[in-house]
Amino acid sequence: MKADKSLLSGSTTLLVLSLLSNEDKYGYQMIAELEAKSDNTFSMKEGTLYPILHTLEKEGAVQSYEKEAPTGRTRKYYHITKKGLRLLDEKKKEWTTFSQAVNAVLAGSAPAMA
Amino acid sequence: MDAPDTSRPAIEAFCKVVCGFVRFWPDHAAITAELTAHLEDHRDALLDLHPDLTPEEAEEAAVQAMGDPEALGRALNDSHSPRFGWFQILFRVSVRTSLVLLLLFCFMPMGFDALATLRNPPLYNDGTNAIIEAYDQTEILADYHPEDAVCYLDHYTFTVERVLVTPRPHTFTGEPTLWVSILLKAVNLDPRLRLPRVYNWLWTEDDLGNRYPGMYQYKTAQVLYDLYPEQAPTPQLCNTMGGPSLITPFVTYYDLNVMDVDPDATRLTLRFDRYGSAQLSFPLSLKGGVENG
Repeated sequence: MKADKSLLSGSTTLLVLSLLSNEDKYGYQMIAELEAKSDNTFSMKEGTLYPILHTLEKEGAVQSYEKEAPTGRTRKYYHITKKGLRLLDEKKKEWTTFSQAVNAVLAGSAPAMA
Repeated sequence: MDAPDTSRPAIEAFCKVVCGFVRFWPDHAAITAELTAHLEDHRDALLDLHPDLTPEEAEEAAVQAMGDPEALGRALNDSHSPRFGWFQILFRVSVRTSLVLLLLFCFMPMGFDALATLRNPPLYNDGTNAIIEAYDQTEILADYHPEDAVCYLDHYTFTVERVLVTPRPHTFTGEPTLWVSILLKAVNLDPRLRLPRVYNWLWTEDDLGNRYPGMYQYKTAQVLYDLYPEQAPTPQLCNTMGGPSLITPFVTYYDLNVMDVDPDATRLTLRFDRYGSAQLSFPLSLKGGVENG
C-alpha cells in the first residue's frame, strides 16, 4: 500500500538523513533503497529528493562530492556530516514523539508525551 | 546495460525546464549533470528489468517518475538562492586571490634570488675578492674549474666550482705555505631543502698525508683533550674553514678556505665523512687544472 503524500512529506528529511547515516550514497541509489526497504510504501516522485538534499547541503547537514562509476558516469555522492547526525537524532526523537501521540489517540487513550 | 548517452532528448528537455526555474544560473550545469545521471541510472535499470522496452520508452518512464519539472525547478530555486550563490563565489575567489597574493609576496623575492643566481652564478669564493681585484699583481699557482668534481649525497648534488691556490706565509711560523680557496655548490630540486649543513664537517688531506681538520673535528678533539689530557692527542688547529656564502631556494654556495697547506703537496682531497664512510670526496689539483678565467 502506498502512503498518503502528505504523510510522507513531513518525514522525508528524516528518511534521507537515515539513508545516509551508514554510507555515502547518490540520488538514484537512495530512491531505489527507499523503495526496496519500504516495499514501495515510500514511492514518491523522484525529483522531490533533490531539493531536500540541496537544502541539507546548504545547511551543512550533508556534503557532496563527485565520483566516477566504472561505466564512466559521474555521480554526485552525499555524505552526512556531524551536524547532519545531530539533526538526524533530533528528527528521530520528533518522529517518535509524534508517532506515539498519534498511536495513543488512535488507541483512544491520552497521549503519553515524552 | 548502458544505453547510448548521446540520445536522450527527453532527459535534456526535462533538465532544461527544471533549470528554467532556477535563477542562479552558475548552478545549472551541476543540477543538469546530477539529474541526468539519475535519469540515466533509472533508464538503464528499467531496460535491465524490462528488456522489451526501447531506450526511448525507458527514458520517458524515468522522466515521468521524476515528477513535474516546474515543481522541481521551483523547489530547487529555493535552495539555490542567487544571493547565497554569488556570496559563495565571491568568497571563494577572494580566498584564492588572497592566497595567491600571499604566496607571491612570500616567494617572489626568493624566486628572483634563485633566477639571479642561475643567470649570474658566483665565480669565486668571496674570500678571494682582494686577489681577484689585484689578479695581475698576485702570484696565483692555480685557478680553475675542476672537471667532473661531482658528488651526490641525499638528493643533493655537490660540485666544486672553483679552486684558487696562492702562496701565503704560515699563520704562526711565517714559512711558505699554500692557501687554497674553494667554491662549493650544493643543488637540490626541492626549494625547501637548502643549506645542507656539511660545511663544519668538511676537512682536507693532501697527497703527502697531511691532514687539515675542519671546525668540528678540531672542536671534538679539543673536548676529548680537555676530558682525557693524558690519553687524547693534542688537538690540531683547524685549517679547513668556511661556511655558506649564498643561499637560494635551489642552490647553496659555500666559501671554503684551506690554510697552511704543505707547499710540496700537489693534490688535495676535500672530504665529508662524518658517519665513517666517505660521503663527499673531491680530489683537487694544487698545480692547476683547466683554465677558466
